[in-house]
Amino acid sequence: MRRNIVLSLLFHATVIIVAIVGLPDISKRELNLDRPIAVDIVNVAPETNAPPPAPPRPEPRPAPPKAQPTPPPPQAAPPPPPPPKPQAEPAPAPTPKPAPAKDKPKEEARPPEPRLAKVQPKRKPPPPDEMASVLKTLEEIKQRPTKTDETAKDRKKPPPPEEKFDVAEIQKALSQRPRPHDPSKALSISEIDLVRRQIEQCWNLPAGAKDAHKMTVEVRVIMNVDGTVREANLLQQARTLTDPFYRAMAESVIRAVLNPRCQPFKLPPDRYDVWQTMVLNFDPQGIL
Amino acid sequence: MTDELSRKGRERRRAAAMAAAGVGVGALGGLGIRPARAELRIDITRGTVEPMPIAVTNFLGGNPGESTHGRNIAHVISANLERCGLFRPIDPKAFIQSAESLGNLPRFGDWRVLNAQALVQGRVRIVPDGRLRAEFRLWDVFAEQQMVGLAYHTVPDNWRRVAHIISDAIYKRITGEDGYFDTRIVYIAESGPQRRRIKRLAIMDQDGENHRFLTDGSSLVLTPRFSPTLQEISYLSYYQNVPRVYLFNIDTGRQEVVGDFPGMTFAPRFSPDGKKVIMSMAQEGNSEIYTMDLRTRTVTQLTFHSAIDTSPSYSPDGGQVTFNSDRGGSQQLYVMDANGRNVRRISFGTGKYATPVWSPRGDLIAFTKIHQGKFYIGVMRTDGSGERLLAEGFLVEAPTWAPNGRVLMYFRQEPSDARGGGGRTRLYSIDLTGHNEREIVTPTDASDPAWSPLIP
Repeated sequence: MRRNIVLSLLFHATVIIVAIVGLPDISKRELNLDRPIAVDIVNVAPETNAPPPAPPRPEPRPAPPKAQPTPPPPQAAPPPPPPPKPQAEPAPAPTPKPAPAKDKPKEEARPPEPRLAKVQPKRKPPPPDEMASVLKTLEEIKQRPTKTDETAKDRKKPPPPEEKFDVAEIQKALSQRPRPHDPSKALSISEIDLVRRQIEQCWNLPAGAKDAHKMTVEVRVIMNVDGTVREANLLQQARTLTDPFYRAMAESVIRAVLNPRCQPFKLPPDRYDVWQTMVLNFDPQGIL
Repeated sequence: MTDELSRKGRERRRAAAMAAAGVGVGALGGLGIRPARAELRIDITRGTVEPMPIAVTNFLGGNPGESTHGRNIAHVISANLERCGLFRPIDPKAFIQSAESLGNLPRFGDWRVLNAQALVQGRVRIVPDGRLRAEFRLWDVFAEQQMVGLAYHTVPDNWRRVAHIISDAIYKRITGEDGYFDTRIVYIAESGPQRRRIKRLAIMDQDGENHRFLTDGSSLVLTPRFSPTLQEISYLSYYQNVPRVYLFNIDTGRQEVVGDFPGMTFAPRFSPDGKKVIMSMAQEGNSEIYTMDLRTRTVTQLTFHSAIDTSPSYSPDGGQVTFNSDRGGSQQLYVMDANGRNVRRISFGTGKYATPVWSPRGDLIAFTKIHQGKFYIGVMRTDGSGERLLAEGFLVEAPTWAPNGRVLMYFRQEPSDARGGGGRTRLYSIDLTGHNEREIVTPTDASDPAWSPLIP
């Protein structure tokens, strides 16, 4: 009898300890749950090297993954009971109840990693595999319907949402796509600097020309996807007809832009729509 | 009634305006204009200053005589472009496409591979009347366009001048500035021991060719100056120890005395229209600035100051004069109106400033500066800002501008040793950027260069 009591006490003590030890685990799990978000950030990075645009994007994304963890609990719920069940249900019942919400994640916590990993692959495999940016937006859309239907049953539903996004959702996704790209800040300073340095190497200034320091030349450049220049047009073409010094300066600029030695420009190909046309402003003021 | 009519009229106009606006917006939409999107903009604020790679092919001829002229012309053009420092002619051995196969349209890809940014091709013919016809085309290799194409006729012996004129055309088309290859240089050729120096007036093409002496050296000559409008030189000659100003016409060889000017140390400079000269003369121990009308020989005094005012030079529009004066305590540069009023000091640096010369382009003033025992050739803007020293040495002096205001020439003397050796004195040119300093090869020691305007 005593032995049983001692065992019972020991058991309770272990349960309590587990509960206590599990608590910090919960917070850790939450952090862990956030980590997959970091994976998303990695996906973002190649798109926007620019520091400014990056932060706004990862934030919205964390939301969807958070939504996902909620579904796992139901799944996880079944497994945790088994351990207690075999044992006596008496006291444990109350303890799990106060922290049921917490406990569920706690206990899932350990298994969740594999489970989430298992579960996620089922859902996520399609997204990363196909075209990155479009699929991401599609992924978000997927999650919206799941939120509405959210139940434990949702698990089994993954296939239906895939069928759903076929028409309207793709359109939505495509229409939403440009939103995350901030066209004005799309290229980071370092990326622009890289191109700038390339062009500077090929800009052979007509140094010593009269008033050369007062002549700024603007060129609109139409780019090919591979970073080579398809077309370069002066914005102040008319001035070249009247001012031979300006024409010399403008031609030096055109030669710089068209010089094959300095091409292709090192621009991120996935944001071609950002740099498809650019205005290059050649300002010799600081040089001459 | 009238009110109602006018109200209806207003409404109609408003409706029409709205409709027009609607059409405008629709048109914008139809054109796919997206006003909200900001275009990517990159500022390029640095570049390189390197000679432009240019390919000059031999000018084709129909027979050996023509081909020889063609080769010579291409050689002179190439040398001119190289010497000016703005171009780097590519070694013809590297050419992929031969001059013969250039035809009417070069294979631009073959020239891009060489990084040639411009290409010169030409043709030489002796036409039935015995004259030489030289034509050339200048191509922009990257843009694949002809930049300029011209033809000239001359007597065959004058091929060198045709080459200079073609060089000028290429230079002008690419830089936007007039060339200076079809010009001459007068200078003082010095020979003999330092104590009994023989100084003769000499003239040559800007590349050192066609050199000849204009005076025999029997009397000392100094400071030749070119007229900006004629092939005429003024210079100072000491005849029986009295300085006299002469005018010498290069084309005719005619020489005339302008007058005796005791106390003169620099020859007068011409006004931009060539009708007047401006000079400094010392009278009663005080040097002042005067002008003289070359036709009427009337002399006008411009400065009235107890300080020494000397070495005046006109601005290219003739409206202002720069000179140096020690009226501020040390020798500095000043600018005044052509009538002698509104005198203002423009140089405020340390050291002494001398021999200011206004650029033919009008934007700069070249000068000699003496500071801590060294001489410098420099330029500054006409308000005194942006001073830049281009050359320095034991003795560098007497800057003169190329007619396009882009290149300076001066002379440089090396120090002589205790035994009277050394003291080599030569002419040098330097680009306005301070790069490309070149010696102009002369048969003897040389000083006091003067650059001619473009030969008419």
